[in-house]
Amino acid sequence: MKLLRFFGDNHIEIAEGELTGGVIKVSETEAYRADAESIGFYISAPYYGFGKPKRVPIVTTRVGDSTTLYPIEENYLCEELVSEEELKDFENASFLETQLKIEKGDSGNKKFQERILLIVMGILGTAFAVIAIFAGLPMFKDNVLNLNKEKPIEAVPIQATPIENINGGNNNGIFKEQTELNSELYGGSNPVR
Amino acid sequence: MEEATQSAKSFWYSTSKHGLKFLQVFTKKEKIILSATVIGTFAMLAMASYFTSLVILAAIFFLVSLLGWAFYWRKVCKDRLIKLYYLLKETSDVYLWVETWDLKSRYLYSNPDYYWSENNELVRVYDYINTIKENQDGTEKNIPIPFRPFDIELGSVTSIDLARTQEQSAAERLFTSLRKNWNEVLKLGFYVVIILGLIVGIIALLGN
Repeated sequence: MKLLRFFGDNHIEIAEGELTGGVIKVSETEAYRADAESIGFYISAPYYGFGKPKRVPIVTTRVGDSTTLYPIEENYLCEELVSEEELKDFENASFLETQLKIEKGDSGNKKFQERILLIVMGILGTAFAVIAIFAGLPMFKDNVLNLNKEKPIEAVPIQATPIENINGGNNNGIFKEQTELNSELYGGSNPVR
Repeated sequence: MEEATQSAKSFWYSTSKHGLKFLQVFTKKEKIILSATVIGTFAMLAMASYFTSLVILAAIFFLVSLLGWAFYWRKVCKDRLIKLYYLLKETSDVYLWVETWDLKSRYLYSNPDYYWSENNELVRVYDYINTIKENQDGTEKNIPIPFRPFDIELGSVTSIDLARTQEQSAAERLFTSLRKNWNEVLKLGFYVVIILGLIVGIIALLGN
């Protein structure tokens, strides 16, 4: 719920408050009693009045006073201010609420966390499955399904070809070069073994 | 300006008292420069259709001019407009805070009692529920009063006192057992290990 907060140093702020157990809590150090009669409406003018107005409920407060303002009244105050006795009631209510939450294991919050973790796990699991399928599909297709029924290629032994048969037997040039090289290196046509 | 004409509700619900259109906030000179920028952008886009090397340059020019003018429009609005809050009575037990904007120049010689500060900007707050009658130009008019909630003394119970009643960390420590916490930690750790395993698996598969 929105709060229009008036400060003693003449400045104002619009803040969000959390409504729990009859108290509107703005921060750890600021809370106000929630009175249904103190709720009004706020018509905002976004984008310097050029945007579409929005109407939201609002509570008007003076920062420092736990009683909300009643702007409709002449002195802006309700007849019953928050008393010391009422503070005890608020404290007891808050204590009981905390106790109940702990006894129930604060199930709401934990369920929410668990749900987020499960959603993350689900997304990652799906991603893993999809990637695994696409990565393993070619291997699966070749080895298991063999859809084209292709015969595996048979290995044919290859016979070694003598050097004389390379180049169709016309190896005179090669032999000549080899003889010249041998005579240069070893002083004869054949290498010394 | 500060007349209370509660019967004409539609006027009060209007959130732009300045009555300007979106671009009318600019002066004539600014409008000419804006038009030149728009023409320049279109010219560059047209040229880009003939010379493809200009496409990126035209796109950058378009984006920069669009962002630049958007920021400048915001600055001009901030400089030339002022926010007003009107407190109105909708029914006998429902009140309204209406936010509206007006030209700042209209309030140069107005009563300073209406001023408040919001986000380091001056705003004016009018209470149209509690008005005073004033004789202006021979006719009696209802004038809104400044909203001054601190003229009345604060209550004995402060907002901090009430906030302290909501602080129950001691009770939480008292009621929370260690065994239960360990269960939660183990459960959470199990989930995290699964998630990490899935991430590592995905990375390994993508590596392949």
